[in-house]
Formats: sequence, C-alpha cells, structure tokens
Amino acid sequence: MKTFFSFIAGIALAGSVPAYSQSTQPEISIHLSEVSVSRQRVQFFGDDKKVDLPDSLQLLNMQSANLGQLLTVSSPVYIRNYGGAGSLSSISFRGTGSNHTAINWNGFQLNSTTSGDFDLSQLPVDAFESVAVVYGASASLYGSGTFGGAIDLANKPDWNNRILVKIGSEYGSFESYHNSLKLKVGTSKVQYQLSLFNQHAKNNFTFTDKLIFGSPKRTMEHNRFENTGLIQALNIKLPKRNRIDAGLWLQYKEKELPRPMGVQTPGTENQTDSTLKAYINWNKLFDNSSLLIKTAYLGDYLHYTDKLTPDVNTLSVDSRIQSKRYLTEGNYRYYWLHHITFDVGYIFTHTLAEAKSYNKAETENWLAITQAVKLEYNRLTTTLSAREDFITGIKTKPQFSGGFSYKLIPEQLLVRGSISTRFRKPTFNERFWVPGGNPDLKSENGWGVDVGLEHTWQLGRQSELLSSVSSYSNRINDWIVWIPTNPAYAANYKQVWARGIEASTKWILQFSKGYIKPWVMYSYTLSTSIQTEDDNQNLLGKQLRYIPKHTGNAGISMLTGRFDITLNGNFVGQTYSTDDESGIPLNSWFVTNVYAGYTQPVGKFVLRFNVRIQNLTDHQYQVIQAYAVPGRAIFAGINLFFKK
Amino acid sequence: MKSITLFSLLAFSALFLNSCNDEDPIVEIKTSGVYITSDGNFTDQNGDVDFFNLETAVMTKGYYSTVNGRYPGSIVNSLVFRDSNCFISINGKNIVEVVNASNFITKKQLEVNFPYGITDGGNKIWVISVKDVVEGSIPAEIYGINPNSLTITDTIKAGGIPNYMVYHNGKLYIANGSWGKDQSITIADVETKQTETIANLPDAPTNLVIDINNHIWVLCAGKADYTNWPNTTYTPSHLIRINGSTKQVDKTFEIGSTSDSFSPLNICLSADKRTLYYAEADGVYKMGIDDSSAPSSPFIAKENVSGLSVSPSNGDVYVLQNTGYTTAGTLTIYQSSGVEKGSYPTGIAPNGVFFR
Repeated sequence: MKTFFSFIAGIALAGSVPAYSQSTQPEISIHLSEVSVSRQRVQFFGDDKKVDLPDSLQLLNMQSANLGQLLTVSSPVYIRNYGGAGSLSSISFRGTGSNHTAINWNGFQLNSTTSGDFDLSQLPVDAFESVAVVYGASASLYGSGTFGGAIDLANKPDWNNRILVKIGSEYGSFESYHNSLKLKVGTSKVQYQLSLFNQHAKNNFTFTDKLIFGSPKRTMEHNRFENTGLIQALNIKLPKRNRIDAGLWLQYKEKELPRPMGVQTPGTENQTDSTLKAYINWNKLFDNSSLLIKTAYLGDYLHYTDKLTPDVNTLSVDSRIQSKRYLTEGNYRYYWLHHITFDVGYIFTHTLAEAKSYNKAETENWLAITQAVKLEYNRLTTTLSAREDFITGIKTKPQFSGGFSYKLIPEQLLVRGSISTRFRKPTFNERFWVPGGNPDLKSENGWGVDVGLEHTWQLGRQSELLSSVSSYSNRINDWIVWIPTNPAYAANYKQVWARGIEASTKWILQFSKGYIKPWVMYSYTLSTSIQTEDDNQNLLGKQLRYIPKHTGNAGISMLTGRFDITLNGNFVGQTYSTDDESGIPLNSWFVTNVYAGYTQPVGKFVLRFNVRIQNLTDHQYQVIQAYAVPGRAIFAGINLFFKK
Repeated sequence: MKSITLFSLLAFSALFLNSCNDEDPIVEIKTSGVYITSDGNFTDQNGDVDFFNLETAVMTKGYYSTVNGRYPGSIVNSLVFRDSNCFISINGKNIVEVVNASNFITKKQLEVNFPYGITDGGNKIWVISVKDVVEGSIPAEIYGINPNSLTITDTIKAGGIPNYMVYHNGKLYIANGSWGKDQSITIADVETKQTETIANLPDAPTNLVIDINNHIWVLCAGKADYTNWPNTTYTPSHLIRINGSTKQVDKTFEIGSTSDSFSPLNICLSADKRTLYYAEADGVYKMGIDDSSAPSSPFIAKENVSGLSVSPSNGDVYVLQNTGYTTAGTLTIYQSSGVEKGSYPTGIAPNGVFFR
C-alpha cells in the first residue's frame, strides 16, 4: 500500500514536470518504439508548437470541474462562460473566436459541424488522462478551425496497469454534486478503461442584478444542469506488432437556460445535448514504418425549446439539430536514417446534418490529403507539412506549415518558430440556415507566425525554474459575420489581425516529502479589425468584443506528505460587448481560488479528501454582458482509489 | 470672538458649498431635443437611449446608460414624454420603465410582456404587449397606463404581432402584421374599448400614419417564402391608403422590389401631414398624400435604414442606420431638401427617433 500511496502522491509530483515535452528525445530506432507509434500525427509533427499541459495535481484538484474551468486556472486562454456549472463555455484563444479552436479527442475533432464551436462545460476533466493546449496549431496538421489553436484530449493506456478503480463523489454550493467511477483493468497486452460520470447543479446562486433599478440581490432561477456520460477505451496489442484501439463516448446533458440580468420574467428556454462517438483504429508497426487506419462515427443532437410562458405546455420554439459524421483516416509513416520521418495520409468525412431551419437534410463530403516530413538532427528538429482539402460546395486552398525547434543549450534553452496557413470552412448553419444562410460563403483563411523561447534553469538538484515567452501574429481573412439586414444573412465581412505575447514562469522546489511550486502566466492580446467589406471606419483598429487585452494567472502549490494545497488567482482585463469599443465596458476582474487535499491510505485502498473554494472573495463580475456568474462556491469531495 | 465665529461660519459654508458643487450631478439637464432608441444586441441587453441636443448639435450617445450607470436592456423600441415623466418601452426586459423627464433617472418599472410602440393617447399612456412573438396565435393587448399613479389600468385587444400604433382623435390605430403573421389593422376606441378590425390587407401591415385628411396610410412589408431557399420569393411591399370614413382601401401602391428581402418598417409624415416618408431597401422615399403613383427612386439614397422621422419644427429628416448588432449605429440628419446636415454615432441597432 505504501507503493500505491506513493502512486497517488506521485501523480502530483510527477505532474510537476511536463510530460508532453517540446524537447522530446528522438524516439526513432531501427525497431520502432511503441511510444513513437502511439503519437498522433498532429503531436508527432507538432514539436514546433508551444504546448501547455495542466499538471497532474491540477487535474486531481479539478477532476470534478469541467474543461473550461480547468483551462481558466491552468492556462492563459480566455474562457467565456454564461454563468454557473453547465452554462455554455466557449474558448477565445489568442484573440480569436469561439469557432477558431479545434477541440480533439484522441485525434478526432469534436467541434460542432453546425455551429463550429464546442461547449467546454460538457467535458468533465476526470474523463481524460491528458489535456494539452496547443498554441497556433496549423491547418496542415489539424484541419479546419485552428486560428487560435487546439485542445487535445486523450485517453491513454497504461500498459503497466493491472487494475485501478477510482470512485469519487463531490458535493458543493448551489446544490451541485458530481459522482464518478473510473475503472482501468488489463494486462501488458490488453487495457480497458471506463469512465462514468454524473453531474448535477441547481445553480441557484445569489447575485447583484445591476441591470435592475436599485441593483437588488436576486437568486438565479431556471438554471438547472444535469450531465451524464460514459467514455470507454480498449487497447489491444496483437501479434506481429499489430494494435487495435477503440473508444466509445456517450453523453447526455440537460440545461435550463436562465434569463440575462435585468429580466425578471421566469425563464422558459431549455436545451439538451446528446452525443454518441465511437472509433476503432488499427495500427501496424513495420521495421521502418507504421500504418494507421482509423474509422469513426461522431453523432451530435441538440434540442432547444422555448415556451411563451412557464405555465403552458405548448412549445413556441422546438428546434432540433442533428449531425452525423462518418470518418475514415489513413496514415503511413516512414522513418528513414534515424533522422527523417515522412508521413502521408488521407482523411475522408461524410457529414449529414438536419435541422428544422434547413430546408432539407444537408450533406457534405470532405477529403483531405496530408503530407508531412520531420528532420531531427542533433539539437535541431524541423517539420514541414501540407494538406489539400476537397469539400462539397466549398473552394479551398492548399495548406502549408513549416517550423523548427532548436536546443540552443541542451536541457536549458530551446527556441522554436513556425509559420503556417490556416482556414475555417463555413459551418452548416452559416451555409444552410433559412433565412440567412449563404451557400456561397468562402472559407475564412489566413496565416500565422509563432516564435518562442523556453528556458530551464537548474537551481540545484531539487529545484528548477521553467520559463517561456512566445510571440505570435495571425491574420484572418474573410471572417464570417451575420449582416443585420432584414433578415440577417451570413457574409465574409472582415479581416482581423490577432497578435500578442505570452510569458510564463514556474519554479519547482522539491524536498523530501513534497514540493512547492509557484507560477505566474501573462498574456497580452491585440485582436482588431483591419478591413471590412463596407469600409466601416468605426471598426478599424478596434479590439474585438469579449477579447481582453490582458489576462493572467498566478498561484502557488504545495505538496507535503499527505497534504496538498493550491492557491491560484485569475486576472482578466477590461472587455467590451461591442466590436467598436463603444458603450459601457465590462470591468476587469480578479478571482482567487483555493484547492486542498489530504490523502490517507486505508488498508488496500487510498482515500483522498479534497476541498475547493472558487471565487474565494465572492467577487461579483461579468464575463458576458448581462450574465451573472456565481460568487463564492465551496465543494468538498472524497475519492477512493484501489490499484494493483 | 464674533469675528472667529463669523469666519468659521464662512469657512464652513464655503466647505459645504464646495462639497455640494463636487456632488452636483455632472449630467446636463435635458428638456428638449431628440431621443434615439436602440435595440442593442439581444443577449447582451445593451440597447440604449441617446440624446441629440438641437441647439448645440451635440450627440450624447448612451444618455440613459450614462445617467443610470447601466443599460436599460435590449430592444428599447419607443418612448413618450408626459408631464414630468418619460415612459420607455424595453422589449428585451418585458418592462415599461418610467424615468424622470428632466434627468432620465429611473423612477419605476412596470412589467409588460414584450412591449412595443408606446404612445400618449388621451388621458393614458398606451403600450402594445405582444403575447405570442413567434406565431401571433394569441392576440396582442394594448395596456393603458395611468400617468399619475403609474399603474396599468386598461386593456384593449388587438391582433397578432403589432409593433407600431398611432393615437388619433380618441382612437388607437394598431398595425398587427409584423413578421407576416397577420394581415389586419385594429382601430380601438380608448374610452369605450370597442375595437374594429380591417382585415385582408396586403401581407404584413407593419406600420401606419394618419394624414391631414384623417386617412390611414399603412406600410405593408410583404412576406418571404423560404420553401425553395436559397431561391427565396417575396410578396411585394405595399403602401396602401384606408379611407378614414369608409374604412375601405382606396389606394394601393406597390413599393420596393419584389426580389429583395428588405421589409420596410418605417413610415412617417411631415409636420403638416401632407407628405409621406418611408424607408425601402435603397433609401428613404418621399411622396405627397395626393400623388397618383409612388416614387420610383429614393429621396435619400441609403441602405439598412432602421429608423425614420421628420422634425415637427423645421422638416429635417432624421434617418437611422443599423450597421450591425455589435457596433454603434448612425443618425444622419438631412434638410427637408435632402441635403445632409450631419452624421452622429448612436447605440447599437437604432430603431426610433422621438422629438421633445
């Protein structure tokens, strides 16, 4: 049990060192390692990109939270949340829109084909082993919608595991609870994992309604949230270096949509989101090459309803949007002379989408041909990648990416840079919504440049300082906007220039029973319209709405023996709800959070007690104009681990 | 002793007066001028009321939000002054808000379901309350607000989805056809509450005015058929005249283009009520009430016209333009001859111009 207890403590300790290292040792040998093969193409050829990984202690502390909440405290990306657990959470990454970040699960993009974005509140953190934030991801590797970057979620097998069971339960403010079960069982040849989760929150938090005369205190109503799901993964090593990976994801979410501040009539809107995703991959390892074939089904169903008044049964709006994606992908990778890797592949997706507001069921066929090459020589790694897309009814251009990483001083100083083209194809809603959809829309298109430095300073055997600084510049042309004619219609309207700087530093001081880790992150983002179709001077040079120029995150974690505590603060600068910086700005805000845990072995098991306090000072603020967010919230949970 | 006491008194007084000056509201007290209402972005609840000072030609954008420290809400669609109060219809918050007419500070809020088209009529303030904003299956109601007690005291039934109404000679004239869900207007007696419906009008009677001869001019926006989208078809927009005595349609003009998607919503009269102004896809049209045909080209060329009014004092034409739901709109003022006088920023998606 000491070993198992060390395992739990080790989760936190090991997580202090990034596991998704930019300076990965070359993994190529004559006989290919399993590790290199298991790296997806986007990761293998993405070594020139800055990647952030929340550490394992953060994942442990936030396991009952959703992905949006995790990213808020662990990265400088900006999460826009409409208030409360389960409320729509969208990402703004490097000054871009919510449909400009690709969310991927085990290599499959999750973004809605109808709206283009993804609700991060749907994703419970503890359903995934790995969460990676990829800055400036290129279209040649990731495909459509990566002007900001990508979030890679993964369920990874642990071939050394025999059995791991984790049962967790958390209860907290606003009548919220979260229950989860995680099971991992297997051998050195077969690994199976199951993650079950159930979340509920009434979200009946108190807030000051500044949009009502007198700014009264009110209690949020009609804001209930339910989320139930399971994720399974099966990994099998077959003879002759074959491997099968399969996954299944089922989820159902219900959400009552509250009124914005200022509106006192009871809420009447409701939405359910359900999903079924499944994949099966076959991978074959040869002496100098590997072949990967993937197939997947990604189905999403959204049901939105509204009534004229809460007391009637008849629906005034009954909107159902369904999308089904059938996907096959093939990828051949060849390793040459220990230093050079070639990759060629295809991705074919057939999509069917149905909505009441489409005149008919719409389909789309999308074939992408991909190529990539990676050179690793001494301290230098360079990658080149290209991609050509053929999409029904949409003209596209080839996509390219080139980058490098160079160890100026091995183990200490790394410099990297990349330049890449990107695009976002119009969504089904933008093309087919009636009225207003525009089937002749062009893809948004552009390019980006990214440079950065990463420095590791060993301060002693037990201490190191990790620092990084990055600078980027992205151009997005033909940005799609809904023009406010009567009725509104979608059009390629403006050109945006997003640029900025990100800096972070983290100090890790290890001692016999644990460690201390303070950190600070800061990002400065300018994202402005530089041209519009109608030459609207009011927009030119103005920061886009809901994109702060300044964001930051700082904190300190300490692990000692069985006890760990983290104090973290999140800062977001002023934003506007308009694209021309007119009107009343939303004030900047600073929120502090506390996470604490205690781990206790009990016989063959390990118990972990944890408490998290969000918004410690009960600060009232808005992320989205007119939408209240909860004040201080306290959650307490217990997890039971068993491992063999 | 006396001098010290006097000095102290003077010093204290000076301190007090200075404090009063520091605490005096900075906002100028508005008594006359032009008020512009705006929709804002619906989810952001950031509609507003702007004030244009006619004497100084200075626009105070966000007048309401500046004074009250918050936005009024979304779809702020109309307002009317009565005595010391201003009544503002705020559709996005389901309220009629009463503010102090001289400094625009909030006094009271009245709950009204989906309010539109507030107007002063007789001894009441009247406001439209839409019941079914999607299909118009439940008739709208017109509420009468007692301007002294600031309470709702009267109810009159109307049609499907009215957005605009006019008070004239003891009657309310209500256009029921927004979103193409109704083809009628309602005429309601404010005293007896009796109503009369004139039905089977061209598609979407949306707005109306009463001319010098008491004839009713109705702007019928037309309707879209999306069955064969993207090859959408539209029924034509019409301007019709209903004879004030016979209540029969005695003039019909087809206006605009049948191939465009623009739904004309704005119509107004000159101060002498002999000239009509209405907005179409390509601008503002001007037409005499006795003209035998509608004009073929606009008086003022402009796209995305979202609001329109004519100054009762000098005949200047006020044209609002919606430039998007995340950017400021524009007010452009033209002389009665059509020469532009000036252009000013407004709140997001401006929709109404009101003179006081």
